[in-house]
Amino acid sequence: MNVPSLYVASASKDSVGKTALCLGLALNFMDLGLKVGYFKPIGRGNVKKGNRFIDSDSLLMKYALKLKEEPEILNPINLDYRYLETCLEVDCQSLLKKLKECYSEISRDKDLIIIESLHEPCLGWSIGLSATKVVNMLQSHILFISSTCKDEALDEILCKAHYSKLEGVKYAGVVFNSIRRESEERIKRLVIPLLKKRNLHVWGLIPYNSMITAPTVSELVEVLSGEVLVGEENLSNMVEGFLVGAMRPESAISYFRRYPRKAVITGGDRPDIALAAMETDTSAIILTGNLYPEVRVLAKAKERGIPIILVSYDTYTTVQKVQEISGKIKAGDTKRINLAKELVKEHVDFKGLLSYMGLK
Amino acid sequence: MKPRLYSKYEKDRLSILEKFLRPKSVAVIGASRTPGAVGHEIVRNLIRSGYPGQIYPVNPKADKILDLKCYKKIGEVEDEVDLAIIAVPAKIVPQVAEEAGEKGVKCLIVVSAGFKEVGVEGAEREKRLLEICRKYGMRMLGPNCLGLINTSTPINASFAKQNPIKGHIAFFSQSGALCTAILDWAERENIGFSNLISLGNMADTDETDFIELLANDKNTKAILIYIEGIKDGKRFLEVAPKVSKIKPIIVFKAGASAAGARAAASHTGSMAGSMVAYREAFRRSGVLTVDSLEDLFNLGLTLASQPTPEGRNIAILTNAGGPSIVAADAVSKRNLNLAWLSPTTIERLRSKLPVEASWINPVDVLGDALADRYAFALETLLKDYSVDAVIVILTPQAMTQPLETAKKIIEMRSKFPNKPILPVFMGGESVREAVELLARAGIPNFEYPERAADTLAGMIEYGEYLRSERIQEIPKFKVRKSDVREIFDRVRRERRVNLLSVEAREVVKAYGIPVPEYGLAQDRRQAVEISRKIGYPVVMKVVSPQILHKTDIGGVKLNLKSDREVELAFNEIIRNASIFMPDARVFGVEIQKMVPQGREVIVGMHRDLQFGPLIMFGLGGIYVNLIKDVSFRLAPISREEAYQMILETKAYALLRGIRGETSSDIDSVVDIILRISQLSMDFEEINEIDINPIFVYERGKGAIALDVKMTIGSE
Repeated sequence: MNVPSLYVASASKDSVGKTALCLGLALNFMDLGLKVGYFKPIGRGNVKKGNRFIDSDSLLMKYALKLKEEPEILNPINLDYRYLETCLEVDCQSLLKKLKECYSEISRDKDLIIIESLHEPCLGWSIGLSATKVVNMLQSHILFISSTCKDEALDEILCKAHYSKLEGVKYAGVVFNSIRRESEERIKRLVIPLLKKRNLHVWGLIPYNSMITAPTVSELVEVLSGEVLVGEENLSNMVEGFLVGAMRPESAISYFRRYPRKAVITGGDRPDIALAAMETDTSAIILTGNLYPEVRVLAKAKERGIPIILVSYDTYTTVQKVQEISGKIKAGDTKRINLAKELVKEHVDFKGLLSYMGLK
Repeated sequence: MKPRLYSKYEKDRLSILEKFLRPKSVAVIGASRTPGAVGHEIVRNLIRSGYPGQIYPVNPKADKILDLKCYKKIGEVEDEVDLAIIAVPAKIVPQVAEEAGEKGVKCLIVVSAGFKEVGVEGAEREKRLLEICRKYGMRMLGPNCLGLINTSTPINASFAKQNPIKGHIAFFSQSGALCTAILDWAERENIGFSNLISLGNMADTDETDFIELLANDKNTKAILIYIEGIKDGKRFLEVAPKVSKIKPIIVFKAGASAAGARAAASHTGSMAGSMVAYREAFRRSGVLTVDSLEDLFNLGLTLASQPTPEGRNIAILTNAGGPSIVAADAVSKRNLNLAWLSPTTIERLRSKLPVEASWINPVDVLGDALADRYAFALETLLKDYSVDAVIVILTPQAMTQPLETAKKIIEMRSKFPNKPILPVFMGGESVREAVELLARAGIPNFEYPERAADTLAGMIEYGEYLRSERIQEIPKFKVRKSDVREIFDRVRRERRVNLLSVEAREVVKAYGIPVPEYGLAQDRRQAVEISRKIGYPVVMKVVSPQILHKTDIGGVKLNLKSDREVELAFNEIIRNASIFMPDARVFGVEIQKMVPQGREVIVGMHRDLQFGPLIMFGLGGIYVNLIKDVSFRLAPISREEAYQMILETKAYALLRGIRGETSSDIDSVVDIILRISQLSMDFEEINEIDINPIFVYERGKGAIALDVKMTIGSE
């Protein structure tokens, strides 16, 4: 059980990109010739497999890292969305045992393991599986990921680091992820030196990249139970924003131009809006209220390769639904998998991390 | 001297298009034996029109059609075929087009429907058809069109019911149905055509191709077009201004209103550019526009047969008071002048006309005027050098001689070939014969004075275009183009399309537009540093793409005079932004040199889908949306045009100074307009520019761009 490992956890509630970071690190380590394993002790059952729910991240990693272990091994425990009832029933010791068994199976003939936490380290506490307990058991090191651009980020990280220390856990440091351009300078100038003073090393700063977080058109189609009328070939288009088209066509063009790679939500009875949208950078057009568009609109969309999605919801409901969508890297999504790898390669000192773990 | 129009390459292209109008031989693929079938009517029309070339009907099932030998396939025709008309079901059109290509056909007319207009499948078929045309170097009219008619060849390559008589106007239309309606109406009105072309879906050839082609057609004296949109705005702007110098082009553009645009969008499946851009494109091309089909033909027919007036001075000759007042109103409403007659003219009229008559303009020859009195007055008016055109109103009264009067008008037309005469013979049956006589002589009659005034206004506009010299120089400023390229590259790398205000300002600065000194501060120490560098007093503004109305959230601080004030303002701006717009991305605070207040104007650019950069100038300040005092021009703009833009607005008077105010530096505004024009021509990726406000100072003291917004296209 002495395979070196990193335990990637969020430093705060609104930090994002754990999976992408795990993926990117693992792939880059593999490129160095290392045998890399993946473990997600506690997951959220968000994908149905047979009559069970499993965590989609384990599916992704099995695919992307070509792991031989089944998702049930990669991710032994899944929390339901309401899990407090479980607290009354579970036997913490048997869960820990299960984790241990799976982990030792995974770590067989591996050089290092990337462990992904279920969001913040505090999750799991209620069922006796706090992050610190797990990390201690697996003798891992916590790597914090933070995507907070506000000054509070510093406090969050310091607090989590201090608590880990109290629990006897080692922490590897911090990676900033999804940092907007305008905050980059401030983090570099102020936050990183301040963290360094407290012995927290920052291994990298990954800039915001809309392609990782933006949903694809097919994700929209899924959430909206929409019907794709044309443009099936471009369902992998990224959707980086949503606009409602209800204005005069003359103002529409200027408005649409301000938002690249967007989805435009409008009624099927507004060919002018749909056509204006097609003259600008549009990833998809969502026609609400089940109003079938004119054939010429479809012909133009076909010509431009812009997916047209017919949904039965009214515009208001559609807007509400799409706001909940955010992109998630899934198995088979080679575009985002490669992007995750590239981002880590470019912005994270992963070789430094290796030597920190005593490899090379 | 005729202007030289075409290069060798263009000549080759035109000589192929020429074959549409004057083919040596025609094949009709899908010819039919059944009267009433499209494939039958086309053959019948070819024969009926007296087409002098060979006609080859193609139909695998027939031996003879209308006594002509029928071919199984176009490939079986022994001789060369210039033009093939395709009238088979859409599904097999690509196949027969391919055969036509192999045969070496130069031109295709595809009348069959079932293409882009029916949806996705049809659009793909149309694409395939176009590829076939490109492969064989064939040009295509249609698909989904009525065909075309040229009355001088003569050839009627359409399935229209009517066969129009010869005339001097060419008409083409994006709507085939409108063509048939026009033909029907023209038959009743005895109106002839040189060419009639139904453009259909315009997969290949479009209105501009035919404008270019008809420029050299000696039988065409005016080109009349019904369009819902221009297919290729750039080419139109190249071709139309040259052709307009040779013969008038008159356009009736449908879809002007928002509702109309919506209808046009769903009808054509394409988004038209803005109406403003169309208006500007037509104006700079010398293309005349009308608001109704009636005006289209009134103006077209009159321009085809009458000279353009040399000025705006109109004389009205009438036999009744009422209509002449209507005419006088109509004339002045359209910005034309009621001519001040010369003393000689007045004296001559007074000496010969009855004492009750009126010998000042409008000249009333009274209800009992016979043809001779009309002739005398008309001749006298035409002789007057201060009269550029005459409207002759005739109301049928007891003694009136409509037919005789019409004859006198025809006589005067040839006696005074340089001055147009517009007859307004009002009424019905009693003037019918006279109107017909006038029409045959190529002098269209107007039912009402307003219509005549409309036509006169168009004629005068055209005359002014002919006299104008549009070889205006487009100024080229020395600019830092690579700096702009660099900024745009960075913005694109970051996958943005909206420039930050600091970036936008940097861009216009690289193009020599004065901007206040500024810097972007990330913290209060930087803010102080920058403020000291540019010198107090300063203005501070929050920089965030999400915060559009900075003042509303307390994101702007003015007239800061010390380090301390700047520090406090910085903190306050950041605090306000965090409180009121917690999700906004704040890039920092911009520090600008506080500049003195000047007169506020706006310069902007919107890239039109069809015609490219449309430059806007207008009055600035808080009332801008209320007053809407704006003018537009398509880029590139000459110095004269830029000046004209300012002159057109009320802002001009303001800049000139009202009631003893000092006048502002108009030249520097002209300069900004020209530099924005150059910038938008140099960088096609710029979609929108908005400089608001620009402070304009006293003459000689320049102008300065305070706030710049810019949007570029994503790759």
